[in-house]
Amino acid sequence: MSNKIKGDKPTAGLFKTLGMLSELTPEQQALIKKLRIEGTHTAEEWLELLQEIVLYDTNNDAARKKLTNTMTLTGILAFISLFIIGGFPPILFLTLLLLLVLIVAAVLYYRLKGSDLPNLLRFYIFPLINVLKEESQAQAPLTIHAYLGKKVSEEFLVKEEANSNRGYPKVRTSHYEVPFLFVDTRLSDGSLLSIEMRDLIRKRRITKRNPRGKIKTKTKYKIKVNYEVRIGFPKKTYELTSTQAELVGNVADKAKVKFKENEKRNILNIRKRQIYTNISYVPDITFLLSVIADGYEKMRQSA
Amino acid sequence: MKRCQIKTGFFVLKECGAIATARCRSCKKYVCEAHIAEQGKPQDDMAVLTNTTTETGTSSLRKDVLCIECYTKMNKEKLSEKYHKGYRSSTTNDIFWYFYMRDSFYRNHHYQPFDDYDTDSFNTTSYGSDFDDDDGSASFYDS
Repeated sequence: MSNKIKGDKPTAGLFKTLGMLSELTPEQQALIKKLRIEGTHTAEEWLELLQEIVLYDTNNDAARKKLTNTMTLTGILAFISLFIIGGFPPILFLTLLLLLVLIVAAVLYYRLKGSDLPNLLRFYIFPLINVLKEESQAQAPLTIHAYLGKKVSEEFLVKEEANSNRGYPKVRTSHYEVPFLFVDTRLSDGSLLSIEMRDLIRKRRITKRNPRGKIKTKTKYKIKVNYEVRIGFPKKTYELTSTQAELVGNVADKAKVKFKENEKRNILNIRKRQIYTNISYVPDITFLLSVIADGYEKMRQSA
Repeated sequence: MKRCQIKTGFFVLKECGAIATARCRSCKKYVCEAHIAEQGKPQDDMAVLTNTTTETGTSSLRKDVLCIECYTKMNKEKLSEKYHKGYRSSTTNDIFWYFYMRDSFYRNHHYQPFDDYDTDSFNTTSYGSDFDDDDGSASFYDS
């Protein structure tokens, strides 16, 4: 049977989605609860482990979207019906029914929200494993440590400062450092690959008073995503395309490259940075691949 | 027995090597089941089957198929529409995304991957001993 382009449209209904959670294995449920992925498996095993979770998460997002629509609609109808009750008392029954639907929808929404996972898993880690699966031998161990929880939390707070203004605007700046992804594996060409990604988050909470005396607070984020990719190229396969001196330092595209070697390997350490302003951002996978490609471009086949 | 000739991998390309079940109608490459992107409706069995001699005898290969590489090249716009925001599938093996993304990446980044045709040193059969011989993480991680 040939492959078909499959959409990411979820297929399970609301109650089936709720049931999907209990059908997950204890390992999968623990992952959702802890919001951490930790361990060493083959890429195929990782995909097998995460597939059901990704599927559940896709359906969870869709079900919550439907519930949000339901809550909005029933809320509006219930509100309108309150004005009609005076003129037509039997409408009270309908109002109560709408409120009941609203409450049930809200309960289900928060139940699903509790087991929701950030899109980092579905749209970044999962496809990254897909890429690494094609890039490595079937039995190659792939180590993953990923944090899927809330990044702006006390656990990751590095520094907090407030401006010295007595009046407005009041600015409170908090800095967080979140190592959220570590991947380590061996590729099919014998190269060792290690990826480390950490967010440096600056959160600015700005409280202003407008000319009418109204006080407003805004929160702004700036996220620097630091990539550190280390590739150990086997000397029997690859050699450097340029001298070590030409290789290291800051290059035009702002990547910092360090070089080391041992008896068997040329090791490149490449650091690059990406900036986002949305705290719920999902990194661009092609950016990470371009960092690894930077390393490969500095190699050629050994003579 | 014919083997799948589709190139897998990202930084180092290598042939898939799985048992081929079809031959692409466009590029004529042998293709395994996993790398068939589109399958035409056969009008009669003879039109879509070609015989190939294998070690064990003769087997039939479907001809009226399109391999994933050709499909990706012919349907850039369709795939771009679906994947312009990145991976959006919940299936474990969305090869359409993979081949589309790889194709776009090579084009946008002017990246030339290594190819296993280029080198004999990508000898994957020596993988096990190479892994054991290596002094491993210590050499890689010491700073």
